[in-house]
Amino acid sequence: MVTIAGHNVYTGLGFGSSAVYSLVRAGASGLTPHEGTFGVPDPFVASLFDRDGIDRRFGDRKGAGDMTPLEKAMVLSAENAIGMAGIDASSEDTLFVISTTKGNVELLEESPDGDDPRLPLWHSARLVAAWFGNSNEPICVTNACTSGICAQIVAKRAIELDGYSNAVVIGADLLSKFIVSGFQSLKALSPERCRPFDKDRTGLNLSEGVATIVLTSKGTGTGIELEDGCIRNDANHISAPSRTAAGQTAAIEAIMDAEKAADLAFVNLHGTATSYNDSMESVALHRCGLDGVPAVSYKSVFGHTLGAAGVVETVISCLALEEGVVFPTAGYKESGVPYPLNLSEDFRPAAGGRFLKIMSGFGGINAAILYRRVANG
Amino acid sequence: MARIVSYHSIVADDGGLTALYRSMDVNYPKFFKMDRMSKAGFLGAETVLGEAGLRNEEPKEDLSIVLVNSTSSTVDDIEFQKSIGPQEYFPSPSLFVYTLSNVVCGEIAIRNRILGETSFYVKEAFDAAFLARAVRWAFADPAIKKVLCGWTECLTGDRVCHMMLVEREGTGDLDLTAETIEKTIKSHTQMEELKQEIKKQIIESLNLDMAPEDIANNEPLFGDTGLGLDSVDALELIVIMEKFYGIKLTDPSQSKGILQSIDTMSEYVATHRTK
Repeated sequence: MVTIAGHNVYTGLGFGSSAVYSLVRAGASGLTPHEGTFGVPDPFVASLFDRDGIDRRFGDRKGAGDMTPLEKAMVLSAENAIGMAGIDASSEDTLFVISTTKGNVELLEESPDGDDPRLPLWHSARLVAAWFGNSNEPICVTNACTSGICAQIVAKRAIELDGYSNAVVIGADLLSKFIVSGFQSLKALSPERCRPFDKDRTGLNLSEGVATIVLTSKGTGTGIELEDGCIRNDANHISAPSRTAAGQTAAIEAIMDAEKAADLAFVNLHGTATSYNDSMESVALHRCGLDGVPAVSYKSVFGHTLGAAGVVETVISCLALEEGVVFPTAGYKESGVPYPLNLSEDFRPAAGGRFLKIMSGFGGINAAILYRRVANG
Repeated sequence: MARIVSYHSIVADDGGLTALYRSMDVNYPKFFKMDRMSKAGFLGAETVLGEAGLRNEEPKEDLSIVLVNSTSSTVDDIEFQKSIGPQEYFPSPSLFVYTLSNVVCGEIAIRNRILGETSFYVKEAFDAAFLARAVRWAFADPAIKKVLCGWTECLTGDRVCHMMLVEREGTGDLDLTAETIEKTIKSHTQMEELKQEIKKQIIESLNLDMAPEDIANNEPLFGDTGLGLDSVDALELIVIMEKFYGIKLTDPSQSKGILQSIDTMSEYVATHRTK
């Protein structure tokens, strides 16, 4: 059995899973309008880190060398989660798994030929693992917006097949002119705070975030088990989800059955608030007979934190499962998808001991994971 | 048990990839829209899936894709960064799409209706042991029977694509190891070198005004198509076989089959050479 032993969420809202959870529970969101930020000419809405804040929190820890803000934030997040888990991060029994889509891509601004040695994703992964004295070659997963879920699935497989006791899964992405202008060029960004699944939704908000989940096969950790996970491609289009939701449906069906479905407290949707994504997800849940299950998207709270999103949102969902609540989907009023989902503007009590989390991304990729509450001890 | 069903590798620059596409009897206009990594991955997959009889649009629920490289999409990132300043600001959506490295998996999946898992990992350098591990992870999915896997790197190193198809046999332990992968690559590389050598020998002895790259491996050497050699040239090839490889070809009908193409010649040489 692979369970969560420790976790951390670090976003513009704050540091630490409980701190961020309490803020979000009280209705906070880091999403604010930005104009001129990163030198992007067109305004956008995002939740951003205070970069100096990362440095201040990092303080005078020795040996940081020329670590980037992204790597410092990863170290801070992992350190906190590892402390909570009480595992030996330097042990050969522990594997680091990094999820990021663009890593240090902002370094291209200063070295446009790509010759900054800190650019490769494996370099960031190696720095972070080495920081904790871990000598296993870290795994670096980059599967677009599903990376954060895929990294958890890979970590579980590495524990089960390769014999590690623990895996430290870190999801991390910061924004830059590169990422914001790219999404703007695709006309994917909302000029206002996003409204997942709403009939008046106008696109997504990008955001920054770093989060860590420590998975373990020793003991039952926090009492939340990563039960199963699945990745499926819909072989339809490199940048648009399938209208029939074939890939997402297949991913969900591979890990669900009637008994598990009946025990679902909620479904944590990708819910980016783009027209196509949200419609596709409603079709997928409908095809799986899950469109009546309470559901939630956190994108209108955190924004889309890219490679971190799967990890950030999994942690929040675990805490919600522990508390027994289903979060509201901020900004959602009236359904604007083919099959209306069971979303709410308010907090609701949760019944059931499991949650399903789904995501999809460029390259036709879809992923689903299933977590469940187990006896603690 | 796991078996490597087919393997292919590509060494080529941008122009080389397009030339390769044109030599392959593939009609897929989307190829020209792809970035370099997708082109390399696409061509590798076309060959490997073709050899395994899987190059078609039948839905493949039991096939996954696992690809690895060193610099993710940096080669495209550099281009996109140019489009956003400082001189001009016209961010290009068609470039941006390819700044996610796993898109190469999507391109291959779309072409061949591959509906299993697609995963992309980043490692400093090609590492057969890691590839074997990542393939084992992919087979952890009970629905998956085959994995198309490899390395697609277009910024560093000279080999842009290693691609192979691994098939699961039975339900026992998946004994895919780094050694199995390395052995496959080695024997393929030796075969490629042999083909190159035979091409050079043909060009030299027949005084052809061409380069080894101008001769396709599967192109007919004789007749009106392909290289257009005649019966006198055939005698020259028989000399090559004896002089360099110690193979005496005496039966004319057998020689005809062996001397059909570079592929048939090299295969015969590899198994029958005495020097």
